[in-house]
Amino acid sequence: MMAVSLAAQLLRYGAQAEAVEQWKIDHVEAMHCRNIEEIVRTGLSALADMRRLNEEWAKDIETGTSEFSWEEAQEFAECYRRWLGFREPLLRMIDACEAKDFSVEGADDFRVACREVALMCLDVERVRESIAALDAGRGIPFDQAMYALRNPLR
Amino acid sequence: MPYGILFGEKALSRIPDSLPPEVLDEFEAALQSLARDPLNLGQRTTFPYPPRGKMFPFHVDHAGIRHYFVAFFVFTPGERNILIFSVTYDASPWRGD
Repeated sequence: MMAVSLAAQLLRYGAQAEAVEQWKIDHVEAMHCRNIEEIVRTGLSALADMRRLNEEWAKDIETGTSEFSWEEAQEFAECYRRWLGFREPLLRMIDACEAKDFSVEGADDFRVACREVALMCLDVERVRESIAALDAGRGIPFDQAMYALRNPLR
Repeated sequence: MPYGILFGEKALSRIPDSLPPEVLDEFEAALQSLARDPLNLGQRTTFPYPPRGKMFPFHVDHAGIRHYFVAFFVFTPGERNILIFSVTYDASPWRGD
């Protein structure tokens, strides 16, 4: 299912992002910030491709062109997880650039994208179990769940 | 009449224990508003469960922090319940509008 171009983009993005971890955050210079811009562009482009494939997959399921499969959901989750795994060093370096008054093109879009992916539900196995349990009538009532949330012995 | 809400066993496991009561109050109120009108408030989601899944994103601003939540749910077949299988969470500093 995964397009070869997306896999290649993710690899490139990963390699670029891993290199950032070696940079000394206290010695940020304009050149680093320009490099970060390129990495952010690669990351956003990979994410856009992921979302496009995800949208096509969902549409095919909705229209009955193909059937939903948890295995394919898991593949998407893995891609999103890999993408998200690179965010911390990049966000730190963007912050460091901006703290030195170097603007980073795409920084705001990248922050929003990071939040959006962080808010996705990527634990597919747990979702699968949860939906099966709920469909079988094994759910936790609202009041009970809220009580547990307010009295955290979880 | 509102829909009933049921949670999956670990649906709330991503919600930090440290959330202030004021945020939890608004969190609870937001889910109750979802229960009153899930057909309109539930948005299409392409992931993780496009056949039946819906999502309800909302946020709560408190003490300089914006708390982001997304409740993912399905409808019970034939009943007036929504089944929340996951609530995701993130937060960032917030300086106000």
